[in-house]
Amino acid sequence: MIEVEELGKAYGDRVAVDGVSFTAKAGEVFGLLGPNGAGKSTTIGCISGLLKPGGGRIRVNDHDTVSDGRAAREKLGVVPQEIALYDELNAVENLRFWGGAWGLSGARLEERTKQVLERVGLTDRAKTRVEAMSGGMKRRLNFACGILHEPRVLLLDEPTAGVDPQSRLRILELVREEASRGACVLYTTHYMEEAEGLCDRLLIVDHGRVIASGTLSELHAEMGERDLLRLTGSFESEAVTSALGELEFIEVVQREAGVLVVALANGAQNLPAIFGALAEAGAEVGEATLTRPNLETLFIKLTGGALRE
Amino acid sequence: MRFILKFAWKDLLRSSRDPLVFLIWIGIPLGIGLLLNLAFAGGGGTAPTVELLLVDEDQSLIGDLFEEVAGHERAKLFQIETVSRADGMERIGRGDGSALLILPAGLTRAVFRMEAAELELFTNPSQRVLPRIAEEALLAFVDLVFYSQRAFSERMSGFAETARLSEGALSQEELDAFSEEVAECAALLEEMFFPPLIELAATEPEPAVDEAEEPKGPSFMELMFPGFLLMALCFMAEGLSTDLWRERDGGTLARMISTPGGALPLVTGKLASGFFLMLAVSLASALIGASTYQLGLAVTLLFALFPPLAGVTFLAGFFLLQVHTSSQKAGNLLGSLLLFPLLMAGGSFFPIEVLPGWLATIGRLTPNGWVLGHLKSVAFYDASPATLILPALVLAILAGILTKWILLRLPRFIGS
Repeated sequence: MIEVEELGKAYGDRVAVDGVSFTAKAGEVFGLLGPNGAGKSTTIGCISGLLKPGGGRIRVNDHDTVSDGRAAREKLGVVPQEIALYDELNAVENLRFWGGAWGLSGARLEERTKQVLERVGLTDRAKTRVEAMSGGMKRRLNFACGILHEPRVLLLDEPTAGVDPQSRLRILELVREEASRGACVLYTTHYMEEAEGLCDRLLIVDHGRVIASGTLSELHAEMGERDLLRLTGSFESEAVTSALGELEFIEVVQREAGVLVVALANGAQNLPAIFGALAEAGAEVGEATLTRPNLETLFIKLTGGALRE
Repeated sequence: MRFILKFAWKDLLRSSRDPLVFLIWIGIPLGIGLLLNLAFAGGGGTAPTVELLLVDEDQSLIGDLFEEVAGHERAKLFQIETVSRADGMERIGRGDGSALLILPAGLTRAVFRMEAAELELFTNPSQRVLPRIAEEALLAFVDLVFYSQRAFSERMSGFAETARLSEGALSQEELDAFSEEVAECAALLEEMFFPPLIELAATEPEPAVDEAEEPKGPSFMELMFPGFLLMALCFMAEGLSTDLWRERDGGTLARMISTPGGALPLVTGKLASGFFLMLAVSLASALIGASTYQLGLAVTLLFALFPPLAGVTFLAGFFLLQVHTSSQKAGNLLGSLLLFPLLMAGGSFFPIEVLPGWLATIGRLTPNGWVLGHLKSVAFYDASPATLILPALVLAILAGILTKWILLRLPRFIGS
């Protein structure tokens, strides 16, 4: 597991991380989200040992990353955003090298090399040099190098950036498999639907500070986010207007040309009451769509829509 | 150690996949060496020869003297063929030969009697340089005869009187005396006609050092040989150092720092792979040197082992330079700006021994000049190989300090 307590880091006068705290547990995928420059990379850099924290404390499986750095790094697996591979070497040579760097050797290294090649679907490309691989293959091999030594803690920094849908799907499956075997996975991405579908818990940071954390439902609740019900049909009569006015738990967002959109909390539970009132008022409902607000809208709401770079 | 070798193996594998770069590193000093060799040590080749067709209608002393002078081994410029006038005219007419010289009948008599005579020279119009050489040489010969007439007029008049050249009625005794006189005269003329081109006014200086320390005096190319080797290694060090940028930009450097061993195995592995590459170059150079300059086994081994140690320290120095620059372009530029003056002053382009005093002093203080000095002292000046232990130790310690410095700087290098 990863325990981050009051992490701080500044570059000169610029504060990159300011008092970030969280705990990511074994067996879960923990999403670290934030716009560019929010402090995600600095946080990951401090956890991986690349950067020295300016303040606070980080423990990886009970090992302090500063005072017991080597032991902490032994538990880590890192899949960086860059394709951190050697172009001149082939897939097996890269895996052997990175496996060796994490302490694997001999038969164990050979066995694991074979296993991960199979898992990432590159067995038939074992002798292909990285420079001759497609972007998706490189991403999968990059991932394979990070999980070769079966790390207890896996840091994934945008592991699916710029890959084809098939490779992305495979990588996301692998992430779930890693969590299933008990690894603590810290996942950063700019693809909100990816985080929404993958992460058990989320931490949203901005300007170096934590601005929200919890499960997706907890974040929705915390932000007072409501569902949207979109109806098509005939809603022009005064009776309908009157009926909608009596439903205190809804807010009419849009009502024009045969379309009615209302915002409401706990949409699924309140649907019968809405349909009942509309039927009594003589409205004809053709189609109904209930939409829960997604992570992207929540993220934009939390961090604002202004460009960051 | 095994860990470092694993990392070194990775870089050796990568280098083996791009052999062209390796060849370029070695090719640059070899090319420069070849040019310097051609410029300073001569490049062989065949000297041009004037094919002179000679018609000797005089059949007497001057014709013989001309042949003697022009065909002298110190002239080495003329290839003389005696022909008849008709044959000579026909051959020069069709461009066979550089020039045709006709010595008229009575030439010797005219010379000895101080009378006018006319030589005929026909040149080949299809040749530009060689006929000119023939003309100039003939003018020089005419001058020689003229000044001989002035210098030895009395003796030559005596010859003319004694020998009665025009009648051709000489006794055997007269002929012998005449031959002796001619030989004496020819010996005198030879010294005048072939003065030493450059004569060194050599003064034997008092020995400034003990006889034992006196240099053996290696040749120019022997002095250059270790310089070329170090030049190759310096180019390799500068080229290999830029790999840090590739590791940084590719993300492998950052990933490496997250491994249990951190960046230490990566940097030391790079130094180790650099050592092996330089060892291969040094070994090949040492073997070439051994066969070309008849180096002994100890000196050959010295050339194979000591330069790579220095090269690795230079590599660490260039790594340090790279981690302090803001971009690969700046690193390359700074590396080149540093490398070329060091090679110039440090005895790789020209031996330190031939540099002006002030530059030689600076050159010996440069890292490569310092290494070169130690290498040459053992290879060419009879210093004991044991004298290299201390420099080797200094180089190893320096490489260690530089490595530590690089590691301290790496996080900022990655973040820059």
